[in-house]
Amino acid sequence: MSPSTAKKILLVDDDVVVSQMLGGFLSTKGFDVVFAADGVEALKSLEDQSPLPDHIVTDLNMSGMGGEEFVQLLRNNQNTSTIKVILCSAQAGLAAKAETLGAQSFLRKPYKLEALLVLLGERHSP
Amino acid sequence: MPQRFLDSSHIEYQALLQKRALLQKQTDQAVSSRRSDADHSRKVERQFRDQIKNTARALVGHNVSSETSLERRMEDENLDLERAKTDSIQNESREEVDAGKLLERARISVELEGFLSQQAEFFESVARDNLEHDLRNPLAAVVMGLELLTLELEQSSSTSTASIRLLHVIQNNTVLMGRLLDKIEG
Repeated sequence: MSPSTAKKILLVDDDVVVSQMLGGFLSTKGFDVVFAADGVEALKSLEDQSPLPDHIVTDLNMSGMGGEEFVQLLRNNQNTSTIKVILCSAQAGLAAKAETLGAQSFLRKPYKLEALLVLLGERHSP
Repeated sequence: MPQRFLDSSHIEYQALLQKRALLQKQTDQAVSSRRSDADHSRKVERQFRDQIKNTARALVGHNVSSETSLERRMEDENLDLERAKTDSIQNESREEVDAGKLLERARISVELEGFLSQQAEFFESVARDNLEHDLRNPLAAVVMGLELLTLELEQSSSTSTASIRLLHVIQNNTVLMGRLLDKIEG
C-alpha cells in the first residue's frame, strides 16, 4: 500500500499496551497510526495533523478526557466533524448512545480484530 | 283437865308429833330427792345447754369464721376484680400505645427495608457493572494479544502444531470468560 493511499487512524486509549498491540496490527495492515492517551491529547494531536485521520478509534472510559466528551467536541468542530469514529467500551448497550454522540460505530470489548477491520472498511462483514 | 284425857291427849300429841316428824322426814327426803333430781336435771340441762351453747358457739364461730373468710374472700375477689379491671384498662391502654408504637415501628421498618433494598440493589448494580467493566478491559487486552500472537505463529513455518493447539485452548477459554461476563451482566 503506497503512502498516499494509506488510511490514517488516530488511536485514543489510555491503555498503552492495548494501543501498541492494536497500532502494531493496524500498521501491518497498511494503516498510518497515530496515538493519543486521552481526549485532550487527541484534540491537540488533531490540531497538528495534516491531513486529518480517516478514522478515529477511541476508548470511552479514559483517565483524562473521556470518549464521550471527545466525540462531542469533534462533532462540534467543523474541521473534525466528518471524521469517522469507532467508539470502544467494555460496557454493554452503548451502541445507541454512540450513535447519538455522532460515532459511526460501536465495538464492545473484547472484540475481534477482524471486526475492527470490517468497520475500517478493510474487510467485508461475514 | 282429867289425867286420862291428859295422857291420851299427850299420847296423841306425841303420836302426832311423831307422825309429823315422820312426815317431815319423808317430806325432807322427798324434797331432798327432788332437789337432787332437780339439781341433776339442772346440771344435765346446764351441761346440755353448755353443749348446745358450745356447739352453737362453735357453729356460730365456724359460720362467723366462714362468713368472715367468705367476706374476706369476696373482698379479696372484689379487690382482685377491681385490680384486674384496672389492670385490664391499663393493659388495654398500654396495649393500644404498644400497638401504636409497634405499627409505627413496623411502618418505619418496612420503609427502611425498602430503602436499604433499593440501596443494596443500586450498589449491587454499580458493583456488578464495575466488576464486569474491570474484568472486560484486561480480557480485551488478552484476547487482542492472543489473536495477534496466533496470527504471527500461524504465519511462521517453525511453529509446531502443539503450540497452535495450546493457543486455541487459550482462545476458547477467553471466549468462555467473555460469555461468563455476559451472564454476570444479565
